[in-house]
Amino acid sequence: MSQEKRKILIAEDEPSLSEMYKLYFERAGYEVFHAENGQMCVEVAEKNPPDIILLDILMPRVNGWEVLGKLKKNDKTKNIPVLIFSNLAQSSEIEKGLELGADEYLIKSDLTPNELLDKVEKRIKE
Amino acid sequence: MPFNIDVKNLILILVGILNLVYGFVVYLRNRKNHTNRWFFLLVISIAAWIISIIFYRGLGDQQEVLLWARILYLSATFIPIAFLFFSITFPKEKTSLELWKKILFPVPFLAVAIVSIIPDKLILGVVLEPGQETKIIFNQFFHFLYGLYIMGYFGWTYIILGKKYLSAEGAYKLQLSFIITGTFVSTLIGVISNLILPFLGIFLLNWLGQATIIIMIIAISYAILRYRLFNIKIIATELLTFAIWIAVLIATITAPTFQRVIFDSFLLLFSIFFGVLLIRSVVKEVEQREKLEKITIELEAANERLRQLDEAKSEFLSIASHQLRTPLTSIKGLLSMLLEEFWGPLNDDQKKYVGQIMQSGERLLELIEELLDISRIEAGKIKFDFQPVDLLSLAKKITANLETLAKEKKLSLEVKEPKEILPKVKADATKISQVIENLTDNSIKYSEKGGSIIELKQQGNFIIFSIEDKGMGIPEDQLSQLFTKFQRGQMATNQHTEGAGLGLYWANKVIQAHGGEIWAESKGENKGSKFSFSLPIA
Repeated sequence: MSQEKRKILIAEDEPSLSEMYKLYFERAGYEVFHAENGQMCVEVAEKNPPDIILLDILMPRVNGWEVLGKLKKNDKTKNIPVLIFSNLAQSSEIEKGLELGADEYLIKSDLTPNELLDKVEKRIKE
Repeated sequence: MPFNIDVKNLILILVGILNLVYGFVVYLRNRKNHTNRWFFLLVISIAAWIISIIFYRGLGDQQEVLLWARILYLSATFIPIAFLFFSITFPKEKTSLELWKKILFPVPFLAVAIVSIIPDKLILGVVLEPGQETKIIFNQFFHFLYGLYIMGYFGWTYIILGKKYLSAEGAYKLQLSFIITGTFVSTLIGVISNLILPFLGIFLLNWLGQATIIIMIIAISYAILRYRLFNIKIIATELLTFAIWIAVLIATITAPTFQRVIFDSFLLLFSIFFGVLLIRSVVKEVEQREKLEKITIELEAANERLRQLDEAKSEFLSIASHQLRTPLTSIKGLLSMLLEEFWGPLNDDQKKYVGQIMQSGERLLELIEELLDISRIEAGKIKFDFQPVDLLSLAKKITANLETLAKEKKLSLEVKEPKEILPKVKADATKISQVIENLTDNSIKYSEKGGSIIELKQQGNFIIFSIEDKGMGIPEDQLSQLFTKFQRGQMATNQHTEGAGLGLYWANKVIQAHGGEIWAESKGENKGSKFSFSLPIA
C-alpha cells in the first residue's frame, strides 16, 4: 500500500458488532471511524469524508434512511459510496435503499467480516 | 243503555287498542326487564285513562258519568308515577333505587289518587249538556293540588331524562332523544287540554290528551325496541288489522239483533286473535332480518379484527426476525474470525467444533428466514414474478448443487430425461427453485439407501414434477397433515430434530399461489415416498 490508509466510516449502534468490524477492518489496514447514531454519521462524513460508508438502518435519533438522504444531498458527501448494512431483509426495504442512492444493500447476518471486507474492497476499487 | 259513539270516541278506541298492542309487544319481549315492566304499567294506566274517557263521554246517566269522571281522574294519577319510575330505570334491567325513595316517591301519588276517587273531594259534580262536552265541577283547592302533582312529577321526570341525555352517547342518546321528544309533545298537549283548560272551566278538548298520548307510547316503544316497530311493513300490517277490528267492533255495537251481536262478537274475537298472530309473525320476520343484518355487520367487524391481528403477527415476526439476526450476526462473525485464526492458531479439535457451532448458527439463520417467508406469504406480501420457466433445466441445476450432499450418504440423485420435449411452465423461478430444493433436500435427508429419482411429465395443461425415494416413508394417517404449519412426519421428528416443519407448508403455499397442487404418496413406513406438484403450462 503506497498511498495513505483508506478510511471507512461504520454507522452501527450495536456495540458488539461495531467493535468486531472495527477490529477486522483495522487489521486489514483501514482507518476506521465509528458513528453510533445517524446524527453522528452525517457529521463525521462531512468533517472528514471517508472512502466508503457502511450504514445501518435502525439507529437511534436519525435512522439510516434519513442519513442516506442527507449524505446524498450534501455536495461534500454525495460521491462517497454507501453500502447499506442492515438486518432488515424485506425486498421492499432493499428496493427503498437502492432508490435512495445506496450503492449496495447488504444483509448483515448473511456475511462474515471477511466476506464484508471483500465487498468493501471491490467497491473501493471501482 | 244509550251509548254515544262519535268520531272522537272511535279515535279513542283505536288509540286505546294501539296503546295496548305496543304495551304488550314491549312487555312480552322481556317480562323480567324492569324498564319493560314500568312501561307496561304506564300503558295500563293510559289504557284505563282512555277507557274511562270513553265511558265518561259515551254514557248519558248523571250518576254513571260522575263515577267515570272520578275513575278518569284516578287513572290519570298513575301515569306520572309510572313514567317517573320508567325514566329512573330506563334502559337498565333493574330499578336501582334506595328503599326509602321507593317508599317516599309514591306518597304524593297515593294522596292525590285517594282524593280523586273519594266523593266530594276533588270532583263535586258533573254537568251534562246535550251536544257539548260534559263539564266537571271541582274543588278548587284539590284541583290545584292535583295539577301540582301531575306537573311536578312530569317536570321531575324530564329533569332525570335530561340529565341522562346529557351524559349519554351513541344509540342510547338517540333512544333518549326519542323518549324526550315524543313524550314531551304528548304531555304538553295533555297538560293544556286536560289540565289547564278544565282548570279554566273549558272542557272542549278534555279528550285530546288521551288521543295524542299515542305519540308518547310509540316514541317509548320505539326507543325500547330501537327501530324495529317503525318498520313500514309492520305499521301497514298493524293499520290493516286495526281497521278490521274497528269495522267489526262498530258492526258489533250497532248490530240490530241479538243474534247479530253474538255473531259479530265472535267475529271480533277471531279477528283480534288472528290479527295479533299476523302482527306477531310480521314483527318476527322483520326482527329476524334485522338480526341477520346485525350478524353480518358483526361478522365483518370480526373479520377486520382478524385481519389486523394477522397483520400484527406478521409485523411482529418481521421485527422479531430482525432482532434475532443481530446477535446471530455477532456470533457468526466472531466464530468466522476464530476460524480464520484472527486471534491465533486453533488446534484441529477447536477448529472442528467451532465449525460445528458456525453451522448451527447458519441453520438458525435459515430457520428465521423460513419463518419470515411464511409470515410474508400469509400476509400476502410476497410478490410472485411469473415467467415462462423450463422446469427440467431448473431441476437439473438444483440437483447438480445437491449432488455432493447425496454422495456423502452414498445415495444416487437422478433426473429422468422425458421422452418428449416438455412445454415451459408459468412460474416464479426463484420460488419454485426453493420448493424443488426443499423436496430434494428432504428426500436425501430421510433416505438411507437407494436414491432419489426426479421425473417430469405433462398431464393436460399441467406439468407434474415428482421426486421418489426409497427412504423412510410416511404412514398413511400422516400424509394429509404434512403440508400444514409446524407438522412433520413422526419419523422425521425422530431422525432429524432440527426441522421446524415449515418447509412443506411453505412449498404448499408457493404451489397454491401458482395455481397448482402439491401432494405426497407413500406405501407406508420404510417403503419410500413420492412428493409431486403440478404447475400450469405457460
